[in-house]
Amino acid sequence: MTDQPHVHVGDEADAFALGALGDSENARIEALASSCPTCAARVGQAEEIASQLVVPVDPPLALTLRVARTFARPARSRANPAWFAVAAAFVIGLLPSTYLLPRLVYYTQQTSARATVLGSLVHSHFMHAQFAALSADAPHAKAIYAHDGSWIYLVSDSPRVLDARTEPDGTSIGSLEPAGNAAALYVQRATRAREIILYDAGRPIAKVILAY
Amino acid sequence: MEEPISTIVRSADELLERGALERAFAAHEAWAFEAAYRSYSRALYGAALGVLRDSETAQDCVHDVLARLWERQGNYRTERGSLAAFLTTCVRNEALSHARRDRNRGRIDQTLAIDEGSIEEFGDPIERDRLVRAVGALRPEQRETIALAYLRHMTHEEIAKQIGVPMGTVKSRLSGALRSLRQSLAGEEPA
Repeated sequence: MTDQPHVHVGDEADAFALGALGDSENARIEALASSCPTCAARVGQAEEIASQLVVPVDPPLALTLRVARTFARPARSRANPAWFAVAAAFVIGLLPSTYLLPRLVYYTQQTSARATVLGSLVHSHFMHAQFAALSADAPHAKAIYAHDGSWIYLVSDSPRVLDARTEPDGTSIGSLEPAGNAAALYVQRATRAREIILYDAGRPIAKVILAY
Repeated sequence: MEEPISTIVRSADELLERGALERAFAAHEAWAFEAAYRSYSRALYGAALGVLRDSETAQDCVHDVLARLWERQGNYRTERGSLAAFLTTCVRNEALSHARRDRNRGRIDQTLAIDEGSIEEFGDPIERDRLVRAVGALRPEQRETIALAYLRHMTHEEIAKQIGVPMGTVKSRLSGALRSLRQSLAGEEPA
């Protein structure tokens, strides 16, 4: 049995991009575009024009949250080079320490969270608000948050571990974790937070109101 | 005092320069899937809603397409060009597949009756006018073919039967229509 010679996709790319092909033909074009750079470029060219016929519509917040949940999980659970480092260390018996594993887990999670933060900052509409000091020793802190309220990133210029709570219910949304001379907390939310207070050992020290 | 924030934003700029999202998506990085959704959510949801006419079903469609692309690696490669256009096509083709299954089950008559009003009913009026003008500038046979494909969700086989021309003619008209749209839509872009 001999392999069929590869034939680059032609005008069918246009029908594909316009949605005029059936499922099996779509699958065939997708396979060609996935495996061949020339076919990918031809299909991409058609998609570029056809996609301009779509009338954009604001999606419901529920969809945004659902997508965020779906891709938050694999980001934390998929294989990460740090996990391979942990596995290798245990296999060769160099670092069977109860100290090291939690540290590596922590840094793995931080790296994942940082990537999420960077992606959120660059690829969504966000707002920011300065915390107002409630005590003389309050650090400078800022809340950066999604326009739709689906995420909040709190940053302070002090490495103190501060508890962040939404008001008026007083629910804790997490703690700002030290990062060098600063501290930060990234949280994803199902509802818009209106007011956040930072607590230091149970004492309120800074407050921010989030406008949408 | 602002160093933490400015440092982060500088890092983001360095990490996500032009094309970085496309490369990260092609490399199957989870954050890129969510970032791509956030960047193109209006187009993706609009593509699904325009075909399916139901918010819940359209939301499922957008979510399921992204989830499926996550499960199956290698669908997108940077040579394909615009990630936004790739995702929009994936979502719209999935919505069309869903709608055609419903039509084959006899549940689509009402949908077909209102499809031609889809542009009027949803979306930004400026976008709508832009599209109406671009499609209106096509030659009559191209306009008819693209309307049957895009608004009535017909496959090229169905269009060929409907208007009584060979399938090759349908494909050729669709390609000609896209070439004309490329020129007219590009001509309307601000300098």
